[in-house]
This record gives sequence, structure tokens and C-alpha cells, in this order.
Amino acid sequence: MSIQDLIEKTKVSFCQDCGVCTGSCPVSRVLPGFSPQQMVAKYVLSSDLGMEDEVLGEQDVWSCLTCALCLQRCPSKVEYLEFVRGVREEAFRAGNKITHAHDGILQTITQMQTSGLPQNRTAWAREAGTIKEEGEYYLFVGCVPYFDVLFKDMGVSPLGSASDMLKILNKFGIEPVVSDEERCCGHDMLWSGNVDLFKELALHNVELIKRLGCKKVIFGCPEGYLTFKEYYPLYCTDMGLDAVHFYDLVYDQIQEGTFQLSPLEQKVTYHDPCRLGRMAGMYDSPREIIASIPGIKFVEMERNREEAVCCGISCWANCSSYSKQIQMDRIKEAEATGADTLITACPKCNIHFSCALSSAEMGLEVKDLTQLMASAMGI
Amino acid sequence: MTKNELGMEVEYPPCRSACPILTDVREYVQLIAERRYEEAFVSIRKLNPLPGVCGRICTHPCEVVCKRGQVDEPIAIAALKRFASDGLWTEQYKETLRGKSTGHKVAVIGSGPAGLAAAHDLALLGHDVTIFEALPVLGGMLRVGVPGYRLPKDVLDEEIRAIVDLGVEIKTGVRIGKEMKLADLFEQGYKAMFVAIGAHKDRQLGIAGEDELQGVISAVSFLRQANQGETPEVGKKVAVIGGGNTAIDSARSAVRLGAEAVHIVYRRSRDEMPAADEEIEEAIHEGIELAYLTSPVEILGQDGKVSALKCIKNELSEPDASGRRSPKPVPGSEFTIDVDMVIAAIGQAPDSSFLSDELELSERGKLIDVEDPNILATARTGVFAGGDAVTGPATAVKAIAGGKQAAISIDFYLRGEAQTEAEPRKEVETEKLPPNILEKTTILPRCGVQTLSQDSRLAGFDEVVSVLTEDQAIREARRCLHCFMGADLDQEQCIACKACVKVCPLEIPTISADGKVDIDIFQCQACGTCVAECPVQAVNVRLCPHGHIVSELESTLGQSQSADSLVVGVFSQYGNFKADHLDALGRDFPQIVPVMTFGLERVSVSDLLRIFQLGADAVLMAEAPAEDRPFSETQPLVERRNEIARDILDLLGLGGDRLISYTMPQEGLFEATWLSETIDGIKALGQNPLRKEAIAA
Repeated sequence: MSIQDLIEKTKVSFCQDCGVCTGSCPVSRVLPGFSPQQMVAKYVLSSDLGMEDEVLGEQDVWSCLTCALCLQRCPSKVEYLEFVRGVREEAFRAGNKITHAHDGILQTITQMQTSGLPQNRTAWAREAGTIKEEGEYYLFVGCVPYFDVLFKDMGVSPLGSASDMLKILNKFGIEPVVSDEERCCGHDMLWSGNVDLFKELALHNVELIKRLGCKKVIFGCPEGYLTFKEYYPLYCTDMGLDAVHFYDLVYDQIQEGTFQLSPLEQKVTYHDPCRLGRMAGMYDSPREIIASIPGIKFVEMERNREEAVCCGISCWANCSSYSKQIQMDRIKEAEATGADTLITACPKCNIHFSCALSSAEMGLEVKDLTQLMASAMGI
Repeated sequence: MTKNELGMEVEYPPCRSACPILTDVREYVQLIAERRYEEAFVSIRKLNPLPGVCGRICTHPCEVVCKRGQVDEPIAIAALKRFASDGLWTEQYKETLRGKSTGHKVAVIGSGPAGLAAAHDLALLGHDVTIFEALPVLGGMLRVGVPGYRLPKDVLDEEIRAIVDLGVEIKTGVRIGKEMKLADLFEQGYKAMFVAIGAHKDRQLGIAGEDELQGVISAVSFLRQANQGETPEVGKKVAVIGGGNTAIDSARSAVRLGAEAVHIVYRRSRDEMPAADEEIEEAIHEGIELAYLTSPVEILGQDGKVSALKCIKNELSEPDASGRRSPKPVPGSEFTIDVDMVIAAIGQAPDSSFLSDELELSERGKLIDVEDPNILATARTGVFAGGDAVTGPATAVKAIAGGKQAAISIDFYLRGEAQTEAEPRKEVETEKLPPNILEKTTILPRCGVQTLSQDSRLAGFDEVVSVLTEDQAIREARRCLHCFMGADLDQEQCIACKACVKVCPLEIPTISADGKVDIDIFQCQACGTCVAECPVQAVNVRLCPHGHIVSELESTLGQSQSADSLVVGVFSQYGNFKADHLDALGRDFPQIVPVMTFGLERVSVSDLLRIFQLGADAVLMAEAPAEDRPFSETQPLVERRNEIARDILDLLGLGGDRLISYTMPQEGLFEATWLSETIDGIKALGQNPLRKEAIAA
């Protein structure tokens, strides 16, 4: 899509230049010169002058966290996120690539999956619980087996959360299908401008899940959930699959009172992942789950729900000293609540906060909500 | 910090800063360590037209400042230069830089190192050069001063021939100032001239007996005769007076010419002796006696011939303001040495009297005056001067530097361009390494040198010191600590995660109270461990930088894609293999695509996956034997990375068994039987399904 069309489609021309976006932007606070408002103005001007190609080579479009905080506040309802996504697509086509952290290893893994390697990624599930070859529920595991290998030395256990999730599902009587043929959900490719690869991944996953006879797809990861729910339909017509977040399932069960929770003596706070909160609108289920655990004391951070701040990096891109500042601000905010544990609901938020904490001497622990839940259930 | 040709600030390593011609020592030492000898030679030769000469007789100021010297002993840089220059590969070097002829005639007066270097560079700049030499032979002091056992004549011949081959005209037996004046040269159409007549006049002893007795000779005359193949009459007992290299050369030559006993008489102690240490050692080894703190008083004679040398003992005064301790005679300590020959080697000066009517000479020492020592123009338009004639007796490499500077200045002059004032060279002092780094740096002993047996030495003028063997040269080059090739940290990118702090084998990265990481680039030895570990690529090194393995493979792997099996071998340069071993690998195992790197600790998990993405059926991680690894403490980390990569390969369905790590044998790259079996095993695993896609890409 040309920048001109993108400006039209995403209502960028409605921008009143009020600066609320820049004032809200966590990146603008730490990265000198970065401003969503100015970026919009720059693209509008370049489009007017027919100089889009020149601005498409610039790096600032990759600095945006796509956290949607500005979107939340924009009085003109400019679809800033869609605008950035569109610009990234064009920039990627023009050969302007995003700088990936971890030497791009996660992107390499995604690309290698896409090349049709016969993956071997379900062994853990057979060990952790009961799964099926075919059935109503599909459990979308996502990247966590890979994260587990890459970030284990940091003290995180993404696969531990996945195992707990499977065990809890089994307790609820759900024996989901898990497949070796599943590939990356494509979230990072979508936000890195590599829309062709995203499309390929989306079509493959949808076809696979349908072939296995599943109707409902359970996600523990906010990115997979959001991508499947909101972005797969852009490329896969007639999906006929329902995306279900694991927390909604748990919340339902809590309301039905189907299980007993043992008390946990902890004071916790909760970090809303951008994809789960602002972008998928899920604020309550995680909080209800925490609240249902007897003995636990829950405190909100100053900026919560719609106003929550991003963990500092999205799609493994452009991690830098600025990201670290954003993380540290957030961690300090969590610490200021007096909580001993920062609960996250996203494996990436978990990794990023654990990374930041590993070099800071603070008495705060980061824990995944599913793992908290599992402890309360005695799993 | 020095600016490079692009105006960027670059830090020269100490060795390079110390070299009068700024030889890129670090570069050629590294090339030798990489078994790329021809390139090492080219690196040296492009700056220095006399590499074989300098490889033998350079006083190597580079070694004095070498960082490795703080740990154990400096890199044997001169010996490595000789290794690179002595091999067959010198034949391969073809000068391709010769510019278009300018039609300007330039006269170079004197064919010593300064004259030769100037002639070489001027010829490359396109000028028509003629060398005028007073002696019948070329080379100046290199030929008539330095004995053949230190610098064989054929080595000098070869290097002069390469210069002459650039189209330089030679006129020997012409003493400018005598047979022909500078003015005559201008008349003959020479537009500019470079006076590099050296310092060939001996200083007189100024003691009784010197002038009238037979058997007293100046060192310059003695060496000139000896070095031109004449056999000067040598006494049975010889006294050489002086403590410089010329004195040692005279003494060692006298021994070779049949003297039974040779004494070097020097007025200060060994510590003050200006001769090179290794030369003094060799002289002692050859049976030469050194009389320190001794001054000659009178030469005694019988029948008009030398019969003895009367000497007096000295004591050294307290150091004066300049730190020099002057010798003071001890009254009543006179003694005599029975000798029948006395060689005076107490210093030289330019033989400039012939030029006194045409050029300005200094009062003291009759040196040729130049207006700016960094430009070398004399007061007379078009006449430049350099080398020993300007500086007084100095080193060959300083003379070469003078010649090179003169060539630049003359070129500016001939093109009629104003020459910007050259910045005076600053003495750079090598930073001191802190004790913890000294302690953590692996000690690697300096190579020994192979020398001729005593009998073979004294039988003639054969070269005493042998060239390093290939194995010695590689080991020696690997001792380089890669000054300033190390970590470059991007503070903006750095997330202060401490990954580098945790993995650095030398514990160099520090983290300040406000959370800023700092890595001292001088202390860093460029192992690259942190580069492979940094999650945000905030740090890189210049030695085998981040991503070099993958980018090398991207360009070479394409040709091998159709092979039955395709194995990438990542070989540590710290292994004990020679150039031939690499050739044999290519011949015997064509399915292995080698990629060389300085230590496997710089290979990241991401690198390994990318190699598989490029279509490799397997990757061999070939580690050097433990005792040859300078950073052996990184081994558990390397193994952990291999483990991570294997786990990911398992998840991806490629299989972790495609990543094979092994330790190279004590000699060579692999053990042949083991490798054949391993290759069979790899074939059994089947082709990497990604290969087809990689070919398509």
C-alpha cells in the first residue's frame, strides 16, 4: 500500500498536531528525538512531496513499541498502530530491516520452521499431561519450547508455564491437541514488516488446526492470541476457528467453583501486557484469577489496565539502553507498590523483566500468572 | 590517536606507533598467524622496500613497546618480518602501483637505505630516478657496513634488484661534489635531488700512536674492505674501541678473518652500551672479550707497528641532568693489553666536505642542514637531504623513513604544490596493563632462534641466525595480544545486562554505580566471547568481528551446495596446523568448507543456526588443544552454547547430532581416520532439508 493510501486508510490526516501521542509515548520519554507525532508529520510531508522512498530508509519506525498507548489517548482516533504496521511493510519491502536483539536468532528459528523442517516440539507435552491427536481443542504452544532453551540460563521457564497450563487444562477435563507441525504464530514477522512470511505462517497454522478437526484454539500467550484473533482473519478468510485465552477458561472455572485453591502468602502486582490489555481488551480475567487465590494480597501499580506501560521491547527489536530505562521504570513502579512478586501474563514480558532484574539488585520476583495459578492448585 | 586517510580517528597499536615508517605490524603478524604468508609479505612490502634487510638488522623499536612484553616477552616482530620476507612467496610480489611517468628527473645521491627507499617511492610516483653512488657497489652501509653474517649480500642484492627493476637508473663510482657538482646535475635536467650520503667518516680516537702506527684502522674502512670481499690483514690480537653496533660488527668480523683474540674496549658499562643486546650476546658467544669501563690512552708500537694498547679504568659519575653517567678515569689504574691491531669504532659522521660549497652544514658533526626535519628540504631549492647525513648515525629504518619522507616532499615540490607542514611524530608511551590483567594473561614463551655452530660461524661470513620455521612463526604470531582490535562498546545500545562482565575471561568490563558498562579497549585482547554473548549486539571486536563466519560462508557456500554432503568446519586459528594442512583439507575432504576464526568463544548460537540455515549438513567445531588456547577458561561457555544449539536443532527436527565438536590433534587440523568415519556418519544423517531452499536463495 502506498504511503498516501496508508495515510488515508489510517486517518492520519485527522491528526491535529496536539502532541498527546508524544506525551504518552514511553519511547519519547527516553529516546531523544523520537516522537510519534513528528513521525506522522514526516510521512505526510514526504508523501506530499513524493519523497516516500527517502523516509522509508529511516530507523525511527522500528523504535515504536507498537504498545498502543498513544492510540488509547489520541483525540482524533488516528489509527497509529495500523499506520506503523503499514509503514513497516513498505520499509521492509524497500530493504530497510529491523535490528533484532539476540543476534536475530529468534527470526532465524522462525524462518527455519517455515522451511518445512519436521519439528520435534511436543515431547514436553506428552511428559506433562495428556494430549490428543485430534479433537475439539487445539493448544497453541507457540515459541515457548524455543524460549525455554534460549533463556533458561536467565532463570525463566517458559515451558514450565506451558506444562502447568496443560496440566490445568487436563484438570478441567480438556485434553487438547498439540502438534509438531505447528509453526510460529507470525506475530513478530507481522510487526517487522515481513507480511509475506506472516501470511505463509498464518495459512499453514489455520490449515493444520482445521485438518486436526479442532474448533477452539487455546492460547497462553497474548501475542499468539491477539494475532490469531485479530490478524489471521485479514489473510485467512472463512477460518471457522475460535481463539480462546487460557485465562478466560480458568476464570469460567473459578466462577463455576470447580476447583479448590490452597492459600499463598504473597503480595503481588500485575503487569498488563500490551497485546492482552489494550489490544485484546482483557484486563479482568487475570485480576480475577489472582484475586481468587486465598491469602494473596494484590496491589495495582500506578499505571495499570489501559494506562499500563510496555515492557520495553516488542518483536525482539531494537533492544537498547532506552528499552532498559523503560523496563527499570516499570520495575521500580512495581517495587513501589510494596509487592514481592511482579505477575506477568506474557512470556516475553517475563523474559524482559527477568533480564532487567538480573542486573539490578532488587527484592522483586517476576512470575508468570499460570505458574502462580499452578502453585495455588498444588500442581 | 591518529587520523587515517578518511579523517577518522584510529588508534595505532604501540608497535606501529613506534615504527619510523609506521609499519602495520599488527596486520602482518595476524596474517602470519592466519597462515596467509603472501599477504603478510605484501603488507610489509607495500611500505618497506627493504623487508629482508629490516627483518634481520632492524633495531625493532616496535618490540620495545609491545604490550606482550609487559606479560612475558615481546613478540619477535623482526623475526616474523624475516619469515614473511624469506619464503618463496616474495617471488609472488609484483609492484602494481607504479604511476604514470611525470617526466621529471630526480637524482638520488647515495644508495643506502635512505636513498633506496626514496628511489623506490619516487619511481612508484612516476618520476625518472637516477641513483648516484660513490662506491662501486650499491647499498651504502647495508653493504659495506653490515657484515654478511648478519645481512647476507644476496638478500640485499635481491631487494635492490626489485627497486632497480622499477626503472631506476644506477651510476656507481660517481662521488657527487667531487666528480660532479649538484649544479651540474641541475644543468643535466635533474629537477630535484635527494642527498643521502650517509655517515661514512670515522671519528678519530685522538690519542698518541693513532696516525703513525701500522695496524690502526678505522672501523668503517675495515668493514668496507671486509664487506667487499677483500681480506684485510688482521692481527692476531685485536682491540676494537667503542660500544656501538659498528664495534661489535668489527670485532665479530675480525674473529672471522682469523684474529685469535679480540677485545672490545668500552668506556662505560654494559648497561650503557648502545649496541643491540642480542649482538653483544653473540659476540660473547663467539669468544670476544669485553673490557668495560675502559678507555684507551695511547697506542704503543714497535718498529712502526702496533704492539699494545695502553688503557685506563673508568668509574661512572652520578647521572647528570640528562640522566647520562659520564666515565671518569681512575687515577693510577693504567694497564696495557697486548695487541697488534686497533680498530677505532667510536662513531661516524657524514663525509660531507665535498658538498660544503653547495649546501649548508652544521658546525658540529658536519651534518647536512634541513629546514624542517619533517619535510627534509635544504636551503637550496630542489635539494632535499635525509638519512644519516642529516640525523647523524642512526638506524636503517630511520634512514628508510627519511627516504620515504623525502620522496613525498620531492613529489610535492615537483608538482608545484605547497606541502602542508607535517605533524611531528609523537613518542607514544605504551599504556601499562594493570596487575590483574598481567596475571590473567596466558604466558606464551617467545620463540628461540636457531643459530650456526661455533665452527661454521668462524669459518666465514655465513648468516648466523636462521629464519623461523613455519611452526615457530605461527606460534610466535599467535602470541600477539591484538592491541585495539578488541571490544568497542556502543553505550547507547548497551542495556547493562552484565553478560560481558560475567563472561570476560580477563574480567575487563566494569560496571559503574550508575549502571554504565565500560570495556577498556587497550586491555581487551579481542577474544570475542562477549560479542557472542551480548543480547543486543552492543559490543563488537575488530578481530574476526561479529557475523564474520556467516558472511564468509554466504559468499563461499554457494559453490559447494550441489555436493553430496556439505560440512562446515569452524577451525580455531589457535590449532597447530600449517598452510599445507589447510591445502590437504581441501584436497582430501572437499565436502568440508573451512572457516577460520581466532578462538571458538567468538562463535554464537545464532552463528551456528545460521550455518545450518545456509544448508550445511553438519558443523564441525574444531577447538585448539587446551594448552594452545589463550582463553581456555571460556571452554564451559563454548560447550554450553553448543548444547543450546543442539537443543534447538533437536526442536527444529534437524537433530543436534549434526553439530560435532572436537579438539584438534597436537599437529594438524584433524585425525584422518576419525574424520572419515565422522563424514560417513554425517552422510547417514541425510541431507539438510534446508539445502534446496538455500540453493534457491
